[in-house]
Amino acid sequence: MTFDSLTFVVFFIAVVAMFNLRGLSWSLRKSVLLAASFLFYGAWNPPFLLLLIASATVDWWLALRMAQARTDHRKPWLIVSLFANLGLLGFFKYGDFLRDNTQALLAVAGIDWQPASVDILLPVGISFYTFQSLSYCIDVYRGEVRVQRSLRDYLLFVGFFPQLVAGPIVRYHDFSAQLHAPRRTTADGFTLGLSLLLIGLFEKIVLADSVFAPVADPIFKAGATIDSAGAWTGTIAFAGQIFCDFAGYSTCAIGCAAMLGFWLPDNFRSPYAATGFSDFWRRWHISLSRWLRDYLYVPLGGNRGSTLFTLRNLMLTMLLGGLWHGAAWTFVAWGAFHGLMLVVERMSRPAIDHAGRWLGPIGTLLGGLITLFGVLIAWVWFRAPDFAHSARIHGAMFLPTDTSANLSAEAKIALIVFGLMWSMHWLSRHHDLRRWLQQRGAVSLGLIWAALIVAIVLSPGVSRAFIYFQF
Amino acid sequence: MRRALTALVIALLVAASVLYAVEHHWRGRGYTPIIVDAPDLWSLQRAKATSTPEAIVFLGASRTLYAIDRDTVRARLPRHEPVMLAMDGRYPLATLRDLAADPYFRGLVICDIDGAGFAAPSLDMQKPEVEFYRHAFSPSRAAHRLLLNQWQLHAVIARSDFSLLRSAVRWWNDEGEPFHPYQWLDRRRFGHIDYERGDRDAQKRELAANLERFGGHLPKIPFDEWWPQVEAANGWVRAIQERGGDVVFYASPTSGQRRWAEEDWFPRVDYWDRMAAATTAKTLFALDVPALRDFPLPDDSHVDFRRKPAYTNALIDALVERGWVTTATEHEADAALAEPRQSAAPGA
Repeated sequence: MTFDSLTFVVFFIAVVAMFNLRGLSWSLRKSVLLAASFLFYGAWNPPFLLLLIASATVDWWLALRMAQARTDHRKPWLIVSLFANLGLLGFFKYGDFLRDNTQALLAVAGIDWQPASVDILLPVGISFYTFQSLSYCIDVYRGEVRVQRSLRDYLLFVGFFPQLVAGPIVRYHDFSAQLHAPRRTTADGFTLGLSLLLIGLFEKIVLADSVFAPVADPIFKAGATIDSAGAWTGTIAFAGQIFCDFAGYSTCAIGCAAMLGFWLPDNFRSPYAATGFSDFWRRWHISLSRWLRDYLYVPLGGNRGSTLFTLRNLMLTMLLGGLWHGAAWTFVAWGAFHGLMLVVERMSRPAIDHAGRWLGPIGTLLGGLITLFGVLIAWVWFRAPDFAHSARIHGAMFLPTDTSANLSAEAKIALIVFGLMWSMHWLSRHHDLRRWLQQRGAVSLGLIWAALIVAIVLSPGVSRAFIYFQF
Repeated sequence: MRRALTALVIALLVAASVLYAVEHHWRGRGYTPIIVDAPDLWSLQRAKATSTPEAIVFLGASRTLYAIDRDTVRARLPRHEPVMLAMDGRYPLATLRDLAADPYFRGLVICDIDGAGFAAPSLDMQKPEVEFYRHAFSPSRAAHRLLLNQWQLHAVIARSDFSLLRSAVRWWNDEGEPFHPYQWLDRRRFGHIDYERGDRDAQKRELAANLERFGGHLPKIPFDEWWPQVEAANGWVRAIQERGGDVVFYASPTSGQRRWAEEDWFPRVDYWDRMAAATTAKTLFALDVPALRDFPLPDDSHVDFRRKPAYTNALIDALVERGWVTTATEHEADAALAEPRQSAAPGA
């Protein structure tokens, strides 16, 4: 089930009503939420619900064993959890990738290996829920959280429907307190949640699907004719699409949770107003950045060793971060580029700081533009079907070609909307959207909701799957 | 609580007023609600083909999509549930392949196809919808589509031509109002074309332009390149027959220049007849059936919606005469006709 479907509207109204039924104990209300979460996930592909339950149950049980074991005997349970989670992810997400690359490698060695072709369907959200479940096991191993003895509560932590399939990736210590204290829909939570839900739907339906996708998709389609203007326009449109698609999903998730009385962490904070790549990763997919920092970068050694050691850790983290997004070398290239930019930024930090002090606000803006430029270059690898296609787009971007046709009205509108969005990011780069919404009066809030509803209803284009579902 | 309620009331009142005004505006310009075809609408029907043992599935392109009258099929063949899987502008072999691969499908397929439909470039034309059905369609999508059907049946603004973006683009390009469609689908994807509502001059110009491209200019497809698809299709036919289903390859009627162009491109004796001799499927060439051969086709290819029952009766007569289907008893026909008929109005 997706937030932008009519099914979800009916489902969510029913869930809110049932969750707030008078006389229902907190335990029963949690059961209602769990049943709703299973229905939400199972409505996409029922058999994969069993996979989710099995995967989470194994981690819950392993964490219990860990908690019962002496501190120095916990490691085997953690290793089993790592194997179970990464094995699951590896089979469903990277099975084909590993097979194809092994085949290619053997072919180079002169060995003709023809593996059986297996059509593996990727379970929606597997990267998100395995990371969430894995982090819990690691936290229990480290003794940072108390083990959850209730399987129902643990399944609700992993499967809570607002964030189940595309995040934000919630950490157990952020959620456990919310499982203990009874909660229900409040007026403030409803107001904030509905505002966020409508903003998220606006970003997804109106901006991502209606404005940006029709301009981005043709450029990245195999065999597309690409000229310089088209390459730039398509890439900028994709930058708009991926932000509005993914941030839209996260905003809907946070909004739905708020309407049920739950708090989920922010996942985006005006990323296109970032003034450096490290700043970008503090603003883009924040829950993943934190996860990678805490469970990959720091365990690798973080910045506790030599400069070279730190740069290696940065690079490794970004390479694996790239691979997390998809089983293709283009995603690795995207991660590698970001890693490289982080390395360059770290190495030239003194010069950047000096220039920043000297140039003042102009330097900040300049830093933002340079970062945006780099982020745009990298999005081409993220979206292109293969390296040949990304090379054609990069080529057209930097080696001007004859532009025979004028930009279409759709492309011009997409560029204008991206410009407006970029300005909004700069204007709100130090502001918190939740707080801003909470400060609105009833009339202005009502008018904002009305404008969003009208725009959403009047954008009945092609419904596209959320991009991050495939991750 | 008061803030939330006030905001909600304002939002609902303002949004409803604006949307009503937009809806009223376009209705005043003569637009009516229509069902918009999409992969999930097709998938709903595709799922029905699997779940209904006695399905009679219509495959093909626009000629079948806009020609078959569901009520007539139900009245004449009440033991069968009609399912429309034809797609505008796309040949059907990918769907036939999908039905053959479906172990639960055991219905009767009426596959409207001509020589060009067996050519290699036509093979995967319907593959995107098949892939959508196989990998993206879900119980959730089905429920969404059923709700969306209701919205599209009742609201003009559900059509993407009236979206904010399309309106902005029209304004930017200084274009006129959106196209007034003279063809539409019902919620079960049975199509209708009203040739009295369309712009006849435009239709004639388009037909002439098509034939200009069509007549004598299309590259001839050598028989050796054409035959492998026939052999593959024969395999799919056998798979369906082994499960108790059956397939009729049906070349629907054309007239005028179009008939000449098709014969020029894929001469019947060299292509269709050789396919018919090799396949285990039933084959029906419409030009062999007087009632179909002489059927009036306003653009030499499609049936006006008023004549759909007559066309469907003629097709069923041809199938019955050959013993490929059995019609209803009087009692069964009465029972089928007692069900509410599909309205012929746009959007119904």
